[in-house]
Amino acid sequence: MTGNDTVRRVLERGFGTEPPVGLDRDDLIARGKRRLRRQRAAAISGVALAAVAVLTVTSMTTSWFTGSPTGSAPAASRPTTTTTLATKPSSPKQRLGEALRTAPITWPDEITARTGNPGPHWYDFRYGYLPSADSTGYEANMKLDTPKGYRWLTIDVLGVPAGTHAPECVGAQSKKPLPDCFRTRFPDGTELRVDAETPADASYPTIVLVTVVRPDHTQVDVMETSSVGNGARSSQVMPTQVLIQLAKLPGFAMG
Amino acid sequence: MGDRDAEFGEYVDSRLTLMRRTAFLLGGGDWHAAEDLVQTALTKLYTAWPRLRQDGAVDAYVRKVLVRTVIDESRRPWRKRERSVDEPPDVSVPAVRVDDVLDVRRALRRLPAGQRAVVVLRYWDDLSITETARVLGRSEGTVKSQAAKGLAALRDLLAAGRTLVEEER
Repeated sequence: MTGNDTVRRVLERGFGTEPPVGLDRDDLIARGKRRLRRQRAAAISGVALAAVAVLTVTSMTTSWFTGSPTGSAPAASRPTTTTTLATKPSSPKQRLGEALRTAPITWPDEITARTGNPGPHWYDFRYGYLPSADSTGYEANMKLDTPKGYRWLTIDVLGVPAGTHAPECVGAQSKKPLPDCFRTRFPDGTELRVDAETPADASYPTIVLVTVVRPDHTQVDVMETSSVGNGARSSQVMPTQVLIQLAKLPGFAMG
Repeated sequence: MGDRDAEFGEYVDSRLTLMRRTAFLLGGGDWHAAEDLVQTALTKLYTAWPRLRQDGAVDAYVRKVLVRTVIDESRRPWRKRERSVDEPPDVSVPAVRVDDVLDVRRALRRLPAGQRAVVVLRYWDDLSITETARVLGRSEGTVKSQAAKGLAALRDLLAAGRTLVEEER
């Protein structure tokens, strides 16, 4: 199997009898329009948020100068302290990235470097996996280097409809209970599910998935995993408790 | 917006079948997953349409989205559990042909996502080493070695599949 045509013919054999196309051009355009609207709405709300922050702080500083809660100083004499506010996160992606960057967690000493994929920063979010066309979701993906090899940490933050629950601890296809899975509900209504999969063969990666569904209609999935071989590390590096802390970060609210 | 929809619609009509086949191979031989992938790629494409249309970079963009989505999905074992498993074709075909079909699908599924992407882009989409490297964001050397490894693995997997099928008879 060396010639390009031979390989192509082999690949073609995999098609078998091709089912009819189930995608509709008008539906695709409608989905595209919805996505476009969401992007524009996110951009507008980001700008609005920054404007509100500027007005709020300007008003506060005016009150400090005049000693009056209503801010009665002439407009011309108002101090303009907007320089630091210009760097305030202006989009959901930036806001989530900032929440991750400043998360009050302890990263294990074993982790020697965190690299964003695709980057440039380890805490960068991008549009992520969407369970449906009407969902909004962002994802951060980072490589964690350790002396024993690297692991992948993926964080998905999704806006979900009211009434969404954390998945049960049963296999999606087998319907059997998952062996290393637990699920709990906190007094504030937050649901937590932790599922770990440790293969018998130590050369395959341990995979840990923490799912949190919060009362603010946000679902956060935090997964630690790795590839097989090529410098990857099969054992878990982030303590499960820290993965849970990440999933529960208040700054990840989408509602 | 009318022009955008018309142009986009024309593009979809002209590419949908081929795009779904590429997605089918990239995704490891599952038609449902292939349609999900194409839907994701085309929805993203719609939002970037004016810029990409102007740059003549539409096909390259779609390939990048397909490949990136497949590689991202391959790191999500929990979501992969939702995917369908081997399914014989709905329409009756000779038994030997069904074995062939399933062998190729199984072999594709067992290739690591990155290697599978190189094989599909090089040998199905007929991209050059340079173009493949550009789509995947890897060096040409890496693409060459991944292509060689991917082909070797595909050959071995197909040979193993054939043996199993023959033993079962």
